[in-house]
Amino acid sequence: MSHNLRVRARQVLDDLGQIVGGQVRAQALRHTSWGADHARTDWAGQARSAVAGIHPPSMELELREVVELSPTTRSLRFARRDGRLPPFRAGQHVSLAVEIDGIRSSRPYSISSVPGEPLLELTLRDDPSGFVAPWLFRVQPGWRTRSSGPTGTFHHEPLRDSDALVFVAGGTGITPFMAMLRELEILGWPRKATLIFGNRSPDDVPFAAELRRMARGNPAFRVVFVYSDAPAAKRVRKGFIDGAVIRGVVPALDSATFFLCGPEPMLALVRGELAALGVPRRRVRSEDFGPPARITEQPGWPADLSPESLFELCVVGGERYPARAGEPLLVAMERAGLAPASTCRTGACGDCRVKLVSGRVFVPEGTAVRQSDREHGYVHACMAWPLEDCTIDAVR
Amino acid sequence: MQADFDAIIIGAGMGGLAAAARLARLDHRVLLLERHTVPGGYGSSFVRGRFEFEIALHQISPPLAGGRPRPFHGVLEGLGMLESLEFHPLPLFYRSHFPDLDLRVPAGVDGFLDALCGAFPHEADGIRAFVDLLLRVGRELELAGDAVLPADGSGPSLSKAAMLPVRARGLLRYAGVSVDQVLDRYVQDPAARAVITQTWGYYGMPPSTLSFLFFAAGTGIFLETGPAYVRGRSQGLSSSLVQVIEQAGGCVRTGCGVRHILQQSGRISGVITDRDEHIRAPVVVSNASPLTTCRELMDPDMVPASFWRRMRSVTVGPSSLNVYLGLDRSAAELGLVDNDQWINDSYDPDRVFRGMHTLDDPSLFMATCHSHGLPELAPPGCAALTLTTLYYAEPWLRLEPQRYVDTKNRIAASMLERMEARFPGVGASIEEVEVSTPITNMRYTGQPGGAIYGFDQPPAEAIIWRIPNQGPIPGLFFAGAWTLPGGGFEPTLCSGYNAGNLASSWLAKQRGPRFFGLGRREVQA
Repeated sequence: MSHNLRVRARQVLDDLGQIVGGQVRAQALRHTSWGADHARTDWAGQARSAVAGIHPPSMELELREVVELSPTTRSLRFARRDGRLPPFRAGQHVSLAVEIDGIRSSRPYSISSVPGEPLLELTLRDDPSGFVAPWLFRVQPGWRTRSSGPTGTFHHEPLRDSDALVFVAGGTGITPFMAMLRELEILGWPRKATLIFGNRSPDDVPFAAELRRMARGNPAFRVVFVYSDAPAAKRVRKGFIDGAVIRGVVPALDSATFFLCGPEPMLALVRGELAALGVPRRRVRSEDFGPPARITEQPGWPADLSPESLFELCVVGGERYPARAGEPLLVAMERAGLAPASTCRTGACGDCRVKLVSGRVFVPEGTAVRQSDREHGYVHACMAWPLEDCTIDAVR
Repeated sequence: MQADFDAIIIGAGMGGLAAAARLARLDHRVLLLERHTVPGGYGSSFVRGRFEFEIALHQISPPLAGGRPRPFHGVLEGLGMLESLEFHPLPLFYRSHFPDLDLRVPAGVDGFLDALCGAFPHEADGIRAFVDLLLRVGRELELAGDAVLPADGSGPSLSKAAMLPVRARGLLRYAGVSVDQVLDRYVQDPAARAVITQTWGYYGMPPSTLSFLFFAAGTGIFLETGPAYVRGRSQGLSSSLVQVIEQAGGCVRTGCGVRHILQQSGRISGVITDRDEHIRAPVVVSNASPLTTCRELMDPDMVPASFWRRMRSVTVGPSSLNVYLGLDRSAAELGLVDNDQWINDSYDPDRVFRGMHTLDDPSLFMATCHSHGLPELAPPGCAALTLTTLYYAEPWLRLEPQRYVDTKNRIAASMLERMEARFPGVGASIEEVEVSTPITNMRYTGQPGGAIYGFDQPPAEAIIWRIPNQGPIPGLFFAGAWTLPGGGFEPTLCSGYNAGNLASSWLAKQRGPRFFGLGRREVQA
């Protein structure tokens, strides 16, 4: 027998030995107590508790304190009843569940308290024209409800953002910045921050005293108040937050990361001004309050369609419900008791993703919908306005 | 018992979707239940700002190899997916970066051999012989698959199986060995070995412990066909499967999970959903892991002891950490045009593997610029880049919640620093960034350990030794990475497809006396 053949034969024997050996080992594990005892390893429980410590799917809340901040704003401080508050990132929000006149809905509110504090603080403004805000202004300590876990991408991200931060807030858009600033204060100002805070009048400014206190004698934090309709006599900065204001107060225009939060017209104005100043998009983060309030002003909205037009929303194999052109499908679904899970109400989280079987809808430019979802007819109900009768595939 | 459905499928990952699609196309009444709001499992994507990020799919092998239909072709055909999928070949198999080596490895056998033999001329003979072996064993695996689980669903063929000991000798020889045990005979240079086995990162175990058969099944086939990507990426694949199921009369419900699997006289009789509905069906195909299925969804004592004995030798495989980057410069400007770039810091995969059990900065990761092939994932002049590395879940499960963000950001920063060294400008172009971890995987899929490839794939647990698609209880079937043939997009699709075929035959047998000869009909697409 040649040498080669002998080597080959030995290799074949080796390989067969490995099969036998491997299987003997596997069988030994299987038939003795040496192996992993998967019948008693609670993998699912481990995963659930590890996830719940970081991303609880929901939280049971009880209102503990109501703090009046200014004539039209207040903070609600909640305790979590089903565990400790999870860590979150200053700037994130929760989606608060409400039930008003039998209609279940939810609203996202930015957290104004700091991670690690015992109470979760949400700050809101009374808006008489709103559906949820006036109702929330009547709730008393002891009120119990549910919320999502903290979520959202509007927070400082050291992997991406510079250490020079510029916060541009309008009204209660200050909320996420309060969390960020309070956290910076606790950490001893590791980053520099400038806050440009727009309000209607000096008499109705949430957190004004706290912000002035933070800025006093502090080289790492500066706050600038801007008022859109201040009385002529007062010696304050008047007008809107425009390029001139920004250039005037921001020292590091070529490196700062901008965070914007406030009403839509303000966001649009400031985004435009920053673009004109040559600030690239990657250094401009912004948080929407909710779906566009004036949908008919969005580019692409059919000129001849009134927001009051009434259509029918059909559910496959189910009933028909009224749906107004000027309201997102999600609102019509909530009224119909179809209440899909929804967290962000700005199209970002995708929890209200639903298949549109027939009918056309208006989806504002830049809405976060997957390419394949667009091709397969899925929409995010919170960012889809009916343009005619629509049929969706939803399960009650 | 009057059943509401013929089969209930738990979970809409690739395995569950494929099983449901197959069963629906064989004219069974199916209900697919998925707890998450979006079907697809890991086969999905998400949108941040102006970017869309692919979660899982890097490469897939096209259904044709040099004009010859592969078994995967039959699977796609049987799923009714052949027409709706567009495959785009990728020019490169991968590019390997080491501290002192940077090698582009082209797709196709000749290109592969040229690149490797060019870089390591002293090992050329061994490399050629090893590649020959990979190709041969890859083909033999296809033969064996065709004999035992043919793509047309006709069941095992005795005549084909009888020929296997001759036609697929390699399978028998190599069924128990690791990649290294084979490679030892052909190639000695550690650098050459590291480049040849670079794709071990796709399979989750280093060459010293990875099943040679599984490596050959993956790499052997990729070598022959060249890798491709699918238009629409993995969420497109998932949505297409949902469409197939619905067009064949099946029902897909998302946002509704299963709480319990019901048994009656030792057989499957249905499920109870999250919403406390009792739904009756004689077949349940579980796309959840066998561990979750038999421990969480059933009373573990109601599962035969032999199943739990079988589970003693398996271990839960690795999970992943991904850094998703939306960059405001183009792939060309940043030098990121090569698909699938592996960034290594050593030639020792075992050291890399040990690191996967810690929270240390990773030794090995992969950089893939998905938007380079699919421009719609990023706006003009921008790029969507994903950095992927593997970790076992264990240390993540023990991590204090307060340290979570700092830990994942420290790891991401170390990967970004190494990217910056090779591709200057990446760090200063970041418009969007998200970091997902094993915890994220668990959150969205509920997989034990956030595993992405199911159980580990050492020689004794991979391919022919893997957990079969038949479950331990009559009427219960498994689909997905945890079961035959293993982890990855094609394997999980095949697994679901096979589970569907097996469940269909089982249903036909149950009905035998009543529907003699009419148990199954092929749906004409």
